[in-house]
Amino acid sequence: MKLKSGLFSVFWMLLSGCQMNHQEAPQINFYHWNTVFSLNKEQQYFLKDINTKKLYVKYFDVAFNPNTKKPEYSAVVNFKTQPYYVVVPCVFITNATFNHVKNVATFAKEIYSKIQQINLKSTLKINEIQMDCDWSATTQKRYFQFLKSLKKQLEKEKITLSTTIRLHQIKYKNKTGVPPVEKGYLMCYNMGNIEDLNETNSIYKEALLKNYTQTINKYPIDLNIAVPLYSWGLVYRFGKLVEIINNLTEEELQSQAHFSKKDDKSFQLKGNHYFKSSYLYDGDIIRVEKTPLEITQKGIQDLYNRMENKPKELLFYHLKSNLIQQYDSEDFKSYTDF
Amino acid sequence: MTQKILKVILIFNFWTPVLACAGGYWETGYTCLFDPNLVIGHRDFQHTYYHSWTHEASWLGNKKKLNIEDWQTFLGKENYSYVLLDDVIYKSSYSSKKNLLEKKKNKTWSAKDQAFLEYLETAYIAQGYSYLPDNGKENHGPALAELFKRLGEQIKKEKFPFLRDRYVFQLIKVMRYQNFHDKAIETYQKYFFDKSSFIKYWAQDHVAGIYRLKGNKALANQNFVQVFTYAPAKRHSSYHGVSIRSQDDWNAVYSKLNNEEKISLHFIRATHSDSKALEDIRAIHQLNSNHEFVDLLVTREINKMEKILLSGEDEKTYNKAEVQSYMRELLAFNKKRIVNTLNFAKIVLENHYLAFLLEDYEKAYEVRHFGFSKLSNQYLEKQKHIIELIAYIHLNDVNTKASQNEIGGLLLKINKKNGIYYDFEHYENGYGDHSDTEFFNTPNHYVFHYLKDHLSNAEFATMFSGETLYFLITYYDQESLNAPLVDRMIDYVKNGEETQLKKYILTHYFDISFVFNKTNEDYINALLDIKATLLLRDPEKINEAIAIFEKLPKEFYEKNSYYKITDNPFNAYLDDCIGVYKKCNKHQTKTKHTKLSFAKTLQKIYNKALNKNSATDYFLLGNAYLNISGHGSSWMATSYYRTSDVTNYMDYSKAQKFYKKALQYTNDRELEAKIHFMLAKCEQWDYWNSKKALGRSSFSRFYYVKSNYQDVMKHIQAEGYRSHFGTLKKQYSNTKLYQQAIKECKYFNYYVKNL
Repeated sequence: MKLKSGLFSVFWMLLSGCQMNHQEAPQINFYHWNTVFSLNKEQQYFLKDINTKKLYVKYFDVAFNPNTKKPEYSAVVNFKTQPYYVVVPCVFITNATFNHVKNVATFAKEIYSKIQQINLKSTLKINEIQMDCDWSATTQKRYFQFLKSLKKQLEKEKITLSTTIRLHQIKYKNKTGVPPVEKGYLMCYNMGNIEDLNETNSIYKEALLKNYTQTINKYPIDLNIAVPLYSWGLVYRFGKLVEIINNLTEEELQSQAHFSKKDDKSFQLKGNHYFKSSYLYDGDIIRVEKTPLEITQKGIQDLYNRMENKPKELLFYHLKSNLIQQYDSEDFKSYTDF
Repeated sequence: MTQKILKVILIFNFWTPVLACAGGYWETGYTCLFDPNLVIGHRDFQHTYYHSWTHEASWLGNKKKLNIEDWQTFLGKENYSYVLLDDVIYKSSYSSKKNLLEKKKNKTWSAKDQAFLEYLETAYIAQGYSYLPDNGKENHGPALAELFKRLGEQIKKEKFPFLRDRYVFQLIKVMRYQNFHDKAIETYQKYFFDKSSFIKYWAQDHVAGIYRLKGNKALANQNFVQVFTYAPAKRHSSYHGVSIRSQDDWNAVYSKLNNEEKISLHFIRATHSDSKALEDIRAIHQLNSNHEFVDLLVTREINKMEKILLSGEDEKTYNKAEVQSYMRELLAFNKKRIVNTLNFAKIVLENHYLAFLLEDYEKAYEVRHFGFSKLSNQYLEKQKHIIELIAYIHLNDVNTKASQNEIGGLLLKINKKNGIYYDFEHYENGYGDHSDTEFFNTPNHYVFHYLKDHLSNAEFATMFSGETLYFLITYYDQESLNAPLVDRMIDYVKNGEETQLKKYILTHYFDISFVFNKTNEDYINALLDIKATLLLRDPEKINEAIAIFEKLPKEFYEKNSYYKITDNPFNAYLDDCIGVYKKCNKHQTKTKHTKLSFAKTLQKIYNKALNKNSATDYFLLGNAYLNISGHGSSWMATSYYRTSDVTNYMDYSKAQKFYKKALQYTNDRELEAKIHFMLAKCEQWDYWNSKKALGRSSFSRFYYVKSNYQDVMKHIQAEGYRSHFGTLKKQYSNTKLYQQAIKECKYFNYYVKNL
């Protein structure tokens, strides 16, 4: 799995050489998307080695609960260890929430207050907050009002507000609007049809990335690039996607006697079995999708090179426990050697 | 507070995998042809079939109801109504509860009443400690110690065992939330272990939660399963409390359960979202072949397959071979089921419906031979007719009279209003909130879709389109409703072959208030009234309208409120009649016009105007055609329904034509001024209509945002819709009409002063 980093970077430098000398390499930072924040020493050394400065930590999710008719907060992060990095709290809010929230100013206060509670408990100081919501035409107005209101609160404390930006929001910016924030993080993932059993890789498609970012230089706010670095197993039953098993690898499936290889990417289950906390059924098909560095590198470098206003950060989604087993620091350094 | 959130999250995280899987498989938008309402609707667990929110709400509601009933058993229903107990237990503060009970005080105020009041006081204090501590630290302050002391004393001294158990429950609850976990378990063991009271299971639910927090998964699961099995009032939390993530987890709890509890555990796993439950069904069947869960789960599995095959949602992705293979397994299992006579009928239905889903229509249709009279009830019989019907249409030429009799006969039986029946209406075009019903989701809908593609009679399709005549005359009005269409419908009612299918269609299609008797004659009268009403909109066709109105029987128009016009349609009004429910004009004059008398008067004036070039008569005609529009006070002459945002009869060209003729033949400056004012009205309505075409929200924004008033006025002017206001301002400022309009018409006043 490890990249032949030296050779690859020399090769890449030859290809794109004329631009690299003038450009400072972007920072390599990570999303942390688990509910328990705990970094062991090896991970800390690793992050130090690749000069990571910031961790974008998901603080909690927000979804509208139709029973209580209120936004509900879940999956709140618990800092078991001190991060030792600049932490950027991230909050995922479901799009549907904005169909129901009536007072966006109050909602913004509530969100900020919850972030402050976590900061207080874990003695963290922050200078940026990131909101993650795949807004739609019907929620755009309220979401943007919410952002404005939150931004106003944060300005008093000199905290920057940023948001995630989906690819379609770049391509169709006139339709989807541009969020009223200082900067955005372009999510270069979730590109395919996850529901389709015959999809090859729903996480990342190089051609689609290129197509959707043709007008990237017309986007009016600063953008950093968020890069997928994860794998999952998609479980299909009766041909329908029924479950997602995070961080699943083909090796894990191969090691289980009751899974048989169906094709290049898929395995089929014989009998009913518990697997990775889920109860799976006879005949289930699991397709493993992954985005190792070597798959995304070319497309991301191309995107970076096309961007006139160079991103200051490459933000990998996400920091997982087995990262060190899969990569060494050189792999990341060469990845950002534009 | 942070600690509180974290603890909630910890619990939530344990719950999450189960929560995500729990509840029903179906979104509420899809109704099954194998209808759970018919086959299991009366069962306690039927709500596990539906969307998880519904299912949770149902179980949560049950919790409250059963608790209040438990209290009523203790206190006596005669003294404590459900409503009173709901108030004192679930609503308001302790002081208001106390007041409420004290109001109730009378000579019969007993020791039990007093003890109840004391209990409530303590429970109210305990409630303050029944959540995870706010500040992240356990609250070991003196107040908590005082509460423990108080609870301990009350447990000792309480004479009523019912209340003593409730005090123990309060103690365990507070101990749980304030992190005295071992003591809570100890207290539970001491007081409740061997009991089976209502409140014991509530306490056990807390103990299960404590085991979960302590990391003892097996004991947590065991206790949750027991609560689920024996305590209907705690099904919601115990169901979500069970968390099995591996075979080891399963084995650890399974070995400790008795058979009834094992069945519960299989049921909980089987009802997870997207489950393939046959293995668990087999296990339950082996433990107790007649357990109701077997029945419930088989139906659930059938519905799952049906949704995949028929709802259209998964049309592109589902694997038909896999679905069919699973259905064959279900069928094989069903054939071997050991059953008692009570669920035998249901299994027969299941097997025939599975045959239908497997496209073995012959086998499915054999259900007709099965007699229900001795074995079952009207609901299962209705389900039988549904299977019979949907199989029949696949097996027969639906264009024959015999087929249409058979199909119609079954539809009439299925739609008999005996508890469960289905909407005739279904909206193919995704109007309003019904866009999700474009898939087959009721027997009526399924049959309609099939017949639509296989029947040669076009009028049938019109009248069995899933919309009723009421829908057509109210929503479609101008766009789709026209005289030739009405003629075709009349022809179908008159000449279409008399079959049971026609009877079914007409009975439901004419579900409108002015069809008094469900006879062909009445249907035709209704259609004739509609046709003549449409013709009235055209001055050239008033004669035709009159001829039709005259043919309608006296009884029809006497009873029919749609036939009457309450305001004088020939009057000119200075202000508008905008609001649907608003009275239009203080000067309005009442008339007793019917559509017929109005049409005759209109015809008379029309002829007079034409023959004598009479300005006054043209003016009256202009007024009439303005007043019978959707914005006029006599809109009921041309429509059956009026609303602010659905298109009624909105054609102002005829009114404008008559006003202009009046202008041509008059020398009276006052009349000219009036005509210009009325033309200005038409112009303004044309403007609004052009904005309405932009869609409702744009129109509303334009029309109702008052702060935008000036912009709107300028916009009307800019778009050229103020020509007659302009004429009035320039040429008629010395008329009485001008002076009156300045005072009474806000638009005109604004125009004169600002534009």
